[in-house]
This record gives sequence, structure tokens and C-alpha cells, in this order.
Amino acid sequence: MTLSFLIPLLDVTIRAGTSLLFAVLGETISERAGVLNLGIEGIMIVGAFAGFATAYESGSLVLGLIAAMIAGALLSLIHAFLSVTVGANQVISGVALVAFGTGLANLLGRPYIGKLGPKFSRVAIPLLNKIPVIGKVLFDQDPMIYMSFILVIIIYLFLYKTKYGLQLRATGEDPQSADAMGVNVGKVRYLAVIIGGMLIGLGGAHLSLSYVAGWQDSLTAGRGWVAVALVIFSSWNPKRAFLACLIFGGIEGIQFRLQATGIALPTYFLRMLPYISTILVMWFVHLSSGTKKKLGAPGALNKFFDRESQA
Amino acid sequence: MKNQILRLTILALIISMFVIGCKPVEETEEVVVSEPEVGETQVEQLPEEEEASTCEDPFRVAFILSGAATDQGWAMSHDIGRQYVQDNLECVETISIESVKSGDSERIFRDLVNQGYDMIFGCSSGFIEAAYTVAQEYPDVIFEQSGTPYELPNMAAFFGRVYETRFLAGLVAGMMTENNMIGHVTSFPIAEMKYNINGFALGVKEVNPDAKIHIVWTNTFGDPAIERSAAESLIDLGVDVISMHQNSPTIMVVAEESGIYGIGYQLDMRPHAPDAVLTTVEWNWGPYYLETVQNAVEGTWEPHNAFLGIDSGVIRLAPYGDMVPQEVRDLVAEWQEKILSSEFKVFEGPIYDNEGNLVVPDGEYLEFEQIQEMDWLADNVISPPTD
Repeated sequence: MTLSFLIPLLDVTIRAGTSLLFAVLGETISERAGVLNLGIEGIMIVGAFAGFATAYESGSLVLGLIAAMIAGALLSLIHAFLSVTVGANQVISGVALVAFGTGLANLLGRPYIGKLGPKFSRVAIPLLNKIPVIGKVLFDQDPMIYMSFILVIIIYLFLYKTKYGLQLRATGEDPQSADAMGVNVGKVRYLAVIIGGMLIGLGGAHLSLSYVAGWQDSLTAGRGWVAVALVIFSSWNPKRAFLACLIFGGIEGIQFRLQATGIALPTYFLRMLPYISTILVMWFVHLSSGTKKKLGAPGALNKFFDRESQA
Repeated sequence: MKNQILRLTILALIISMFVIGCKPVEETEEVVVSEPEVGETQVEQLPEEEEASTCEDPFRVAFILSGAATDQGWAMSHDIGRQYVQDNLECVETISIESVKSGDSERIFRDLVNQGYDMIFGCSSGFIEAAYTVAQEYPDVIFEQSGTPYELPNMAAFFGRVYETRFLAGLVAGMMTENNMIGHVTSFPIAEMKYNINGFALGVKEVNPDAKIHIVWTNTFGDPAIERSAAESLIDLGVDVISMHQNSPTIMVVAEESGIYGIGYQLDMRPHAPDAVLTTVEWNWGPYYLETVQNAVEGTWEPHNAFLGIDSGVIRLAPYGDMVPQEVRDLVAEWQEKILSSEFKVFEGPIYDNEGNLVVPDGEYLEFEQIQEMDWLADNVISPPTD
């Protein structure tokens, strides 16, 4: 494998995986607080649309990103209200959000299809981009990609090294104890779902403002569901999320590169991989320990916490 | 009690999200798509004042689209055709039903019949079975379906001999490439994609026997991110002209970013990538739709299988980009004449496939059925095995 094959492959690996990475990070925060948000696909596509439409109308990429975050936050707010305040079934609420978000974005997006809007371009980081191979791959990318790298570190440090991160994880593991410790479980969960939604919205915006650069019908094309699987695959851990997204970005990149040289890969099988590997990971963990603890699933994931019924 | 009311409200909220999300867009009568003048496919949407209809009982025609009428691709090409009918016939009322999925299409056909539509166009091969089922039940309604023909007294099939236009596009690509590496991003490994590839490849070969066409298969029509990744893989391989059989302009945008040439498909793609697009293999349904609707209105409509070539105007080369030199344009015009006068057929022998087999012997040419079952790729095509 020559460098002229490897460097573009690694480069597209990063770029194709970035929208997934934002979404997986967002969902990790939400699920770490105990709220399963299956609406990723819907939130991503609304984020992608809001980001593009705003950037197109205003000419400002920054406003586009803000709009994508606001859109993600608003949609997630619906989910937070249903799952945290009311205690509705989180699975149904999430799936409803997918139908709602996809329909809404495609409806509002009709006039924007195929329009040329502003987009993020590559910004090389001086000196670092001179490192052989790595420099080109990691330090000559668009600003959203740098943002995603930084977010991996920040979210990791937040979750595992700060008091608030501990409170958030406690909320997801054992809300009763967290409540007894004086943590406001409802507030933490609301914030986690909303901030998670903002990141998922940014994931969509990376598609419409950088990778594809433009709005198309059903732009996200199922990436939200891949993200759902990758959260489990990465055992709710931001560092592993980064690796998982690299793997699946790489699969998207390499299949066509091999085809272009005349080698066939089973595309349908490749598209099943995120789900198959997630199932395998869950199965292995089940065999080795028999508890979901070891896998890293938050103990109170998908469970409603009703403070009044505790007493 | 209070809790129960709250629960019910929530239930209503969730259900309403499903309903909003799943409702297909149907209100396209309010949307006007500008008429497809030569080289003009930029869309302008204007709210249309409902014209005071002068006739009491208009002939009602519905078009079922697989995508948004503004998708800049396949679905939009049909909606432009619908608008052409609306503009050119009196006392006809047209509607487009957008973004219909195959699985939902039978319901849509039935809905339209029940609403009293006289003629229904299924503008995606994904609707064939549904159209056939519903057409058998309603012999008084005329069905026109894109794709494979079925024999029914009230159902016709239509499609285009795209390979004729692909051949012309191949001439352009073959003359414009400098390093003899041409890329083509296609979708599913089925006969339709293969006769498109082969038409293109034979055109390239006619003017440039040394050039090779490198193929990648995406197995999708609706994933722009995949289209980008596929296009980049060909560009990184080194192609300097890239052609496509996908639905969005993404590949042309990638070509422009990379400073190479592109050949678009569906609708003139110069607006999306003015410095890259040499020309576009473009659908222009208007003339066919107008003719067949007019026949239906006048009662002279007959079931048919329209496999329309460049002589019909339905499939054509859209205007060239400025970078295409006059000699290329002249050469394409010459070949177009040969096709129009039936002096030349695209699939006339001898043709060898890329495994060395003689697939069309000298002096013979392929018939409609053989083209519909094409399972080989021409000898200047480089592709992974497709079976």
C-alpha cells in the first residue's frame, strides 16, 4: 500500500467519520445521564437543514452552526420533556422524533435542494501539518473536524475528571443515590439531553456545511442509526467513540477506493457492519460477564426517575 | 386523573409527530417550475395564482415522483415535464405527488384513482408492480409507468434509450481527457446501469481507443455523502473526467473542487459546477408527456411501450460548458446525425466485453430485449466483478 493511496484514504476516513463522531458524542452524553435518545437520525437531519439554510440565507457559517445547535436543542427538548418530566416511553418518543425530524427537514428543505451555499474549507495548522502522513491527515482539515477532536478530549475530561461529570454519570447509573447526594436528577438529565442534541445537530451540519456541502433530500441517509449502534459499540466512552467513527469512516472510504482499482467488496455487508459488530460486542460481553455493567451501559439507562415515588 | 390527562396529551403529541413526519408532500400545484428552456434548469419557485379555469370538467393527470420535485435530478425532470403539459394544454389539470416510496405507492395510486384522476404517471421503476396491480382494477383510468412494459389495455411503459446520449457524452469525454483515465460513478449492478456504461464507453472508444473507463458502484441513489466518497476515490486514482449515474449534483461539485471535468446526468448541471461540467445527459420529458396526454384527452390513446431515443428529444445532451472546443461539438453533431438517420446504432458489432468475449458479432446489433438484459461491460471498462 503506497502513501499516495494511504494518505487520501486516511483523510477521507476522518472526514467521512466526523458527522458520526459529533452524533456519537452527543448521544453518549445523553445516555450517560440515563436518557436513551433514539431520535438521532431526525435531530441530525434537522441540524443539517437548519445549518445549511441559515448559512445560505445569512452567508455566515458561524450562524449556520449556531442554528444547527439550536435546532438540535429544540428537538431534543421535546424528547427531554417526554422522557424526563413525563416519563413517556423513551424508545417511542425517540422513534417519533426521527419521523418528525425527517419529514420536517425534507419539507422545509425543498427550495434549498442543490443550492450552492457557503462551506467550510481546509485550514492547515502551521508546523503540525508538516509532520509526515499524520500532518496531512489530522492537521489539514476543516475547522469542524478540529472542533470534533477537541470535543472528544473535553467530553472525556468532563465525564471522568470533573465533579459535574461524576454527577452526570451518577444520574445515569443510579439516580436514587445521585438524588440522595443532592444532585438535581431532572435538571442534569435535561441538560444532558439538550447538550447532546446540540452535538447531534452539529453532526448533521458537518454533512451540509462541509462534507457533502449542500442540502439534499434525506441527506443523512441513515447515519443517525449507525450512530446509535456506535454508541454501544464504543461502550459509552468518548475515546472509543473516536476510534469507532474512524473505523466506520474508513469503511466508507476504502470500499470505493478498492473498487476503483478493480477489487470488489460486498457493499451491503459493509453497510451491515456497524450493527453486526455492535451485536457481537454485546454478545461477547454477555458471555464473559453476564452483566451489562462490564459493557459500560449506564445502570439507569432508559429508566424514568420519579422523585416523588422514592419516599 | 390529572396524570391521565397529561399522559393522553403526550400520546397525542407523539402520534402527531409521526403523522407530520410521514405525510408525503402533495401540495405541489402551488409550485411552478420554470419551463425547461435550453440550458436553463435553474429552478424558480413562484406561488401560483390558481388560474380561473375556463373549462368545467378538466382532464386530470397525476404524476407520482420518487423524490422532491425540486431535487435537481430524476424527480424534478418529471415535474418539469408535468409543467410543460400544464402550460401547453387547455383544460388539463396536473399534480405531482412527491417523495413517494415504492412500498407506499400502491396506496397513492388508489388514492389518485379515488380522487377521480383520469391518467396517472408512475415516474419511478419502483412503482411498476403497484401500477400493474391498480391498473388491472381500474380499466377506465390510463396508467403510464416508467420502466418495464406490462401488457394491459390501459397501461403503457415509457423510458429512454439513454445509451444513445451516453454515447455522445462518451465522445466528449474521450476527446477531453488528457491522461486517458475517465471515471464513472454508478449505482446498482443491473442492466440499465450497464447499458448506460457501455453506451458511454463505446463513445469514448470511438474517438480515443486508449482511454479506460473506471467504474465504482455505490448501490444507492440517495446518499450524497456516499457519492462524494465514490467520486473522490476515482479522482484520487487519477481520472481527469468523471461521469455519473446518480441523482444529486454532488459528484459535479467534487469535480469542480478538484479541478477536473465532469459529465452530469438528469438535468443540466452547469449551475452547480460551471467550471467542471462539459455537458449533461439530460432528461426532457415534456414532448413525450404532452403527446401522450393529448392522445388521452382526444381519446386516441393506445397502450404502448415507448423506449425513446434522441430523435424524440426526451433524452439529450444539455448545452456544453464554455471549455468544450468547437471541434468536439462538431464531431458530436456528426455522430448525432448518424444516430438520427439510423445509419449508426450504438450497440452494433463487433463489440467485445472486458473479459475478451465477442458479445455483438460484426454486422449485427442488439435488439430492445437484449439491451434490457445486458450483463457485460465493454472492453475499455475497468470495474470490479459485479456478480
